[in-house]
Amino acid sequence: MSVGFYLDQDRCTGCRACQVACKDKNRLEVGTIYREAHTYTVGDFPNVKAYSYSAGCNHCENAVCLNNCPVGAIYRASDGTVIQDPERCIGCRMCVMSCPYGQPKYDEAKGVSGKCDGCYGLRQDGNEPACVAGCPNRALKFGDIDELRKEYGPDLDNGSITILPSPDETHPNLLIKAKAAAFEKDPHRINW
Amino acid sequence: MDIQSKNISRRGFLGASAAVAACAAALPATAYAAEATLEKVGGHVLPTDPAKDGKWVPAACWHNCGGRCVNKVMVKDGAVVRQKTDDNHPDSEDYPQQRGCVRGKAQQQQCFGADRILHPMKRKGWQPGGGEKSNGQMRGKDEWEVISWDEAIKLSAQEIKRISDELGPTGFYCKSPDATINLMCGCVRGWDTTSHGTYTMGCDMIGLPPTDCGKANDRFDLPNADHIILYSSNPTWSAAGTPTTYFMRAKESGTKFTTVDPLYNATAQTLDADWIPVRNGTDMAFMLATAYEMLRLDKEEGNIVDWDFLHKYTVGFDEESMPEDATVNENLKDYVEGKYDGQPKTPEWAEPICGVPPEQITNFARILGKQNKTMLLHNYGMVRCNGAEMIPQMLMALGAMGGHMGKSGHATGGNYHANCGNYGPKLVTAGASAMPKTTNPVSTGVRQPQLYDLILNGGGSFLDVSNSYGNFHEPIPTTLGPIKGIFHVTDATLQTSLHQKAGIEAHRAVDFVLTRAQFMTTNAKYSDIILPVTTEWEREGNVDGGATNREFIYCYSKVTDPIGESKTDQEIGTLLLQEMGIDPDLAFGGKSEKQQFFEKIAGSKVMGDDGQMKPLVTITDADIKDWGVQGTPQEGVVSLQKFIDDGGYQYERSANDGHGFIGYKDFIDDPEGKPLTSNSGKLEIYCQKRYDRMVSYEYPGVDQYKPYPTYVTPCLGYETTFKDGKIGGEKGEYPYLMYNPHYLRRSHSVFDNCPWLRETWENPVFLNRKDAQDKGIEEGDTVLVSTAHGQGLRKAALMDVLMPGVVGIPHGAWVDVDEKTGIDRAGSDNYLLGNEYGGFGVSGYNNNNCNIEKYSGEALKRDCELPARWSDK
Repeated sequence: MSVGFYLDQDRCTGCRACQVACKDKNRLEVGTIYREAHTYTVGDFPNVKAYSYSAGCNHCENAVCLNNCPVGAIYRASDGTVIQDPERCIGCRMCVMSCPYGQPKYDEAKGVSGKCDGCYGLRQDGNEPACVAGCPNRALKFGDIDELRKEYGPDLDNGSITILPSPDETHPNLLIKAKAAAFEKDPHRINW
Repeated sequence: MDIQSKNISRRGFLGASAAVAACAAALPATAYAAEATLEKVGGHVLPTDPAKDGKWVPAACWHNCGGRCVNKVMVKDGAVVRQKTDDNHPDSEDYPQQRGCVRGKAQQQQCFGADRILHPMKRKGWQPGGGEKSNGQMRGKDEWEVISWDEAIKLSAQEIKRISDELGPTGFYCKSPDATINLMCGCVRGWDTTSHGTYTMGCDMIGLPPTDCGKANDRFDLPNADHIILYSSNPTWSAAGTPTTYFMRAKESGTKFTTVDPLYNATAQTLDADWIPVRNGTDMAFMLATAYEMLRLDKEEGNIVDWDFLHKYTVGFDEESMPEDATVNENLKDYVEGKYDGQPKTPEWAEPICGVPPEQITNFARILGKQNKTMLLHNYGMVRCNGAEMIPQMLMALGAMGGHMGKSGHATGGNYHANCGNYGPKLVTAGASAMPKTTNPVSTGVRQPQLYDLILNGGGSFLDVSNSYGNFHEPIPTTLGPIKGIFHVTDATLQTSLHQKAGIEAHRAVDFVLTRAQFMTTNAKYSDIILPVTTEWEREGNVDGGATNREFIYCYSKVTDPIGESKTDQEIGTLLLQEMGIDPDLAFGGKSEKQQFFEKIAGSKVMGDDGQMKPLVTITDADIKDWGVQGTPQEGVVSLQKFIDDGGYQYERSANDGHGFIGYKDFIDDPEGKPLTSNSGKLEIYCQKRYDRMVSYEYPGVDQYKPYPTYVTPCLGYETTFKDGKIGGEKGEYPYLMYNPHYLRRSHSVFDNCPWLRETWENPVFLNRKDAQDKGIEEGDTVLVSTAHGQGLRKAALMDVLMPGVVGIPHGAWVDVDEKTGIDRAGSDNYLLGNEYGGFGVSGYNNNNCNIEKYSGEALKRDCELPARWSDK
């Protein structure tokens, strides 16, 4: 079994409610971000198209963070969630450096890394991850990746949109209902 | 495991009472319980929810965003450990959860912010007595000292009495006085057209609702439209929360979207709207050319203009539909076709002004044609412009030309706040708690920017035309003497009004500034005494009827006892009145805040099956006893406990539930029986009454206007970006058009201090990519923005979604003036704006002129890296 996120780009407005919901649930100080949303454009004025993307841990099939952790602080739960155990982390940052999605984050104040655990604890009590439950536009879902594919259709992208690294690297558990513009070359991120 | 939060105060719960302690890190993010029963993987104990078994409290999210969404906070072991939004019922499109936005999720950093003002404070250099004793030039620069409540109240009352004895009520200024100020002394008020711009004056005279917060259709009707035009409308940022999803639903069912805006904004992007980029403040040229094209296409191809609609429901479009009270024998159609000035308002005429290519104007005219089911929905950015006085009449005229009112799939109306995409009468309403009525002994109001000049001049003569928002009246010649005292209560006047630089100097010119504040806001910073006031999380609770959502009212409860020494407005008012020797019951009727909360609950109503509003909440004798309040039991549809626990009540909707709404349908069905509020009872494209009122104000440039929509040259706008004021010539000193988009970090000025939001939304200056490159500005560079009135710094965000020549300064950043250079490091919009005005005095927030250059001084840090503006050490 594998778990991961589904993102509907026809619903993601780039509002970043997910980003702050994540910070709230994970009690993250300024400087540490497990999930972030950004808006990208392709083309030049006035022929411009845009899309937004909410990025977080993809709980990859080939979880290089897990593979590269020298002390076994990152592990996979039976449902497929890739989880980091801060009690074991020695702060070597191998996970941070190896993840092509830039996901595990090193917290200098604490001297350890941390990452999204898909709100594992919340899910055990029947709740959705904070970012999913907090999305005002219902753009994010989390769950069994096969179930998500069944629910949202077979034509979903598995992480090959232009702004992401090739999914061949780590086989992310990621399903995107992508806007066509997300496959175009030379996107610009709007830093508003 | 425990981490110390930099963002959340530990001091807050060292207050006198048993406050609910709060700290971002009161609980670790991931708990590892020791119980042997927990699942383990390879020796790891799996995470559990550390906040489990706490108590969820429905919490206030009370700001001026226009939404009222569900916000709950988890209180566990005396600490706030998490927030969440609506999970009261399963989510569906018909019955959507009332989910909050990014800002609401950081609400804990308001109540428990490390930058809360915890004690009464006095500016060190200030002494009562006025004149030099007040040492006014040090406002905003001086140090602060903590004083006792007793001292703060005594000093304040002493100074209020002194000024009142010397100057009477007109010796004071407060934009929004409350009962306490009315009773203590009274004051002159300021007015500003703020949010609704030129829709604040005379909409009822045109036949539209006052300030035009409508009338579009119910959300279930949106998918019936072929086209939805979002004109100057970005609900994803300005009505964050649920409304954007209503439009998504329409898009999924095949509705096509068009956006008219200088920015291809977040809403337009998400909906893949066709973009018509219009220069800010030039909408009239675009709209007139659209009307011209509709007339031309109608002549050449037919079936574009709904002549029957125009002649039956409007006046002033053409010669045969003039209103009886008209004094000028001119009409919109003949003006558009060039009969009066020899200039047909063709797309080729409009393009140099508004920047829209003619073929886009023609396409837009086709979309508005009567054969289409089209909704023309608008917000108010385009009327917060100099010269925008006639936009309300023109936009309504365009809708009327296509007959887009009163029918399913058609609408012409506002798209504002929580009734954005969902207009109609409320199906659930909040109750009120009757309080004593107090009257300000002064009815005088001054246009806000001119008020600052008046304070600096020691008084002056002017025409009094309004004393509050949307409250225009006949002009009254008025002379005021000096103003020596300023009160700030619940608004953010000095931050959110234009001409801020003069405003700061005006604050420095008076004897006394008294402010209630939670943080070192701009109002507080330029004050003499700050009285720490609670947030809504520290109060008894409330049922909020101020929002526009027709399906939901929210009810919030107390999360914590007051932080530090802060007090509620009523407690502060009571202390001040007592010290002044005035009975506080005159303001508060001896009614406790809990009693007021209870009465609002008891008075809440819900739509019954018979179409009548009925009591919402069931209240028993036991409830009344339990609450310790006075009241009468009543039968409703939800128990008191459930109403409190859910944080409000949502009326469950479904398609065809009989509560659908079509704007203006009553008038369209029966124009004689259900006339509008205008003189003619119809929609007045030509409106004599509104025009006469405007002319009576004798403001500059009013001679340009007609009683029907025409293009006027604004006192500041696109024209003035050119050296000689003529479009197409050499560019002037301030060659860019500047506007102030509402921005998701904040609700106006609220939340600008919250660390998570400062990190999440960086607050840059919006620049067109090519404009920036032409000036050697790269992404992230610090940019100096200059106007004739002020200078500010912001980091550059280069974008292709902004029209060339336009500069966006996000609205509401808390001004941070470098006293050495006079440059504002925060990029406050109003620090860059001045006091120019025309027409009927609209605040031209969105068509100012500026210059941009790469800043040669020290680069700005990220806002989130700066220390808090205040820390109560």
